[in-house]
Amino acid sequence: MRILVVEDEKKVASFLKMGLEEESYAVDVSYDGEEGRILAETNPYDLIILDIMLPKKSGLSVLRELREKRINTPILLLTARGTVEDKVTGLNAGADDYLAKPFMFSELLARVRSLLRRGGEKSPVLKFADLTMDPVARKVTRSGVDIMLTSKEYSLLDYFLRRPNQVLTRTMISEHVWESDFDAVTNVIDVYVKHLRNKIDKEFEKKLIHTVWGVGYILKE
Amino acid sequence: MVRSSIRFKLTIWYATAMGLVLLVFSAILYVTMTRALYAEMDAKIKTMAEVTASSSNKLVGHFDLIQLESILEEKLGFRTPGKFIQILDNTGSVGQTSANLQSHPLPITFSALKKASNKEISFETLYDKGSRYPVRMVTYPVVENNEVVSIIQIGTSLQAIQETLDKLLLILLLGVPASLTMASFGGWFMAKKSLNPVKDITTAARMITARNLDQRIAVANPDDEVGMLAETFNEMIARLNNSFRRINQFSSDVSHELKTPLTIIRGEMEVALRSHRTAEEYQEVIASGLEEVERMSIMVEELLLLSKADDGASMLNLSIIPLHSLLDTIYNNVLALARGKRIDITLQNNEEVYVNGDEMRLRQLFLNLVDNAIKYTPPMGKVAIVVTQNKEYAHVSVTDTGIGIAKEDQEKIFERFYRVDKSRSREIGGTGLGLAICKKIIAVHHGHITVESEIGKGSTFSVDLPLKH
Repeated sequence: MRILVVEDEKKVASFLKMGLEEESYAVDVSYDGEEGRILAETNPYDLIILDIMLPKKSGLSVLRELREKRINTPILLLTARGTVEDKVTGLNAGADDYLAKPFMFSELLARVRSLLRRGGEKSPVLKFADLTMDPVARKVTRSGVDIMLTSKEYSLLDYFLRRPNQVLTRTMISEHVWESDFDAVTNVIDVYVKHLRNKIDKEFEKKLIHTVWGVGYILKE
Repeated sequence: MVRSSIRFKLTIWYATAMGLVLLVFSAILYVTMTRALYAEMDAKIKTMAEVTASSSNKLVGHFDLIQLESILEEKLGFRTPGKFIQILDNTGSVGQTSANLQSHPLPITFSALKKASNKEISFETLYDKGSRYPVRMVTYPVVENNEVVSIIQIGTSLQAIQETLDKLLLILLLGVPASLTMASFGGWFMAKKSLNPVKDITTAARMITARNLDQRIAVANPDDEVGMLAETFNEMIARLNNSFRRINQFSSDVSHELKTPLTIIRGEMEVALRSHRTAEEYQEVIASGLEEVERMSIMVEELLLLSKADDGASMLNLSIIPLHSLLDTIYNNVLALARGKRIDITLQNNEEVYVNGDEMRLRQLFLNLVDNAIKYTPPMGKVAIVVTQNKEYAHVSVTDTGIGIAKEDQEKIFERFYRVDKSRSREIGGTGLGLAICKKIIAVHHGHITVESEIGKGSTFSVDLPLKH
């Protein structure tokens, strides 16, 4: 899952990026509203964390402009002003959630998970066949057997599980699992998919991840 | 009705004043009336005595009172009812008396006789137990050849006068309380009417709380006293509203400013604790947290300073300050900093300038200005400090070739927490309070500060401080 953080306070942006990456999210950071808007318009983010007080363009304007352009990426507003009016304004402008500074990082994570869940599966645990993933405990099991995954493998599987039975191209995978500075031309994706297959399919008779030749991969029974 | 209410008091005062006026008026009326009636009566009986005297001259020896009465009537043109006439000889023995005095002669007092023998006319009021009304009497000496030959006494019943006066008294006794009562009611209603706007103001003022300070009291007539009171109220509410808004803005600014470092400290620590880190990573988090704590301490310190300065000059520790040497010290302090940024800094203080001020605050003020100039000037730029004076003021200007300040920002830079560029200012380490503090320091020194600036060219901050006297 790929997240855009638009926050001008560098230290805040930095710990957000670090904490989210450790949760296996791909994170891009922008320090001003204008750049943030351009990034949000050009990349298929799964979630945007948007500060309200931003140089060049306020978070609320960015939010309105994105919604006007029918960019429906879930947006979590962050602000130091936590009055009810502020929350109402933010939510009415099209935000999906609102978090007042100073926030607990664990709360932010919970809200991020909740926002990523919206629109599709409501259960916090992702399931496909006998494969399950618990994002809160960061635990993956197949037929009750624990599977240890690296952070990147975990992100990759997360993406597969959220889009089962869909062909995922290498571009889609790179856009949702890797940050924007990732060079998609390399065969890094194939390498990671191979590692993932080794861990979840190799020991089991029924394979779940299949190669679609010339296109990409698919998660299916 | 509340006994302590202004309306009640007004009515009482009004009724008391009205009662006193009516009493005095009644007394004067009664006394004047009495005097006038008596004077008229005295004149009348004196005339009668005169006529009698002149008649008695003609009638010496065979004095006939019947004849006299007809003479009186002829001379005076009217009848004199209830009159008593008594003629005495020069020793005071009673001679002839009118018919109504036959059984009951007029009393002869010693003082009247004495005055008569001295050829003086005297008037007396005689009270007689037998009759209801007193008698007014004149004792009139008849003088011939400079000798008193006889004494004429003429008395008249005061019945008519007394009845008139009694009637007057009755009218006053009934009329005064009646009109006083009416006036009191009138006063009660007048007080109510004139106090009604006050009541309205009270009601309106009661409705106004910290939450609805935008409301105002309706002013019916801005020129009368109550209207002026209402307007004064409105002005006060406006001032309250203003300061409430400022306080609200200020506390929201403070909380916002404190929330940023808190967010950083909390977030960094929380993320750091989520997994095992190397010693270096922990050190980084602690160092960063420390930096934020320091930022917060500075901010709290500065806020405290500002709120102390709001109390006025109490924060000042005044002495005579040699401004030229103070700036020299500051110049030497920042020289290394400027050189580090390859900024050419100059100080021009050719003359000795003395001001009355607080050395620590003035040092803080100029250090702040010079420090800002260096911060916002790119490498290879210039900063110039110039000290001059005129008759009244010491003048210090700090000029830089820095980034400059836009026109619309120039007024606001002295406001608390106003930042032209929020992120840049935080990176440089500003709290957003520096210039607000400068302005406050200058204000308590009775000086002024101005700024001239052009984007991209640089800024000049000019400070005027009163010279010591």
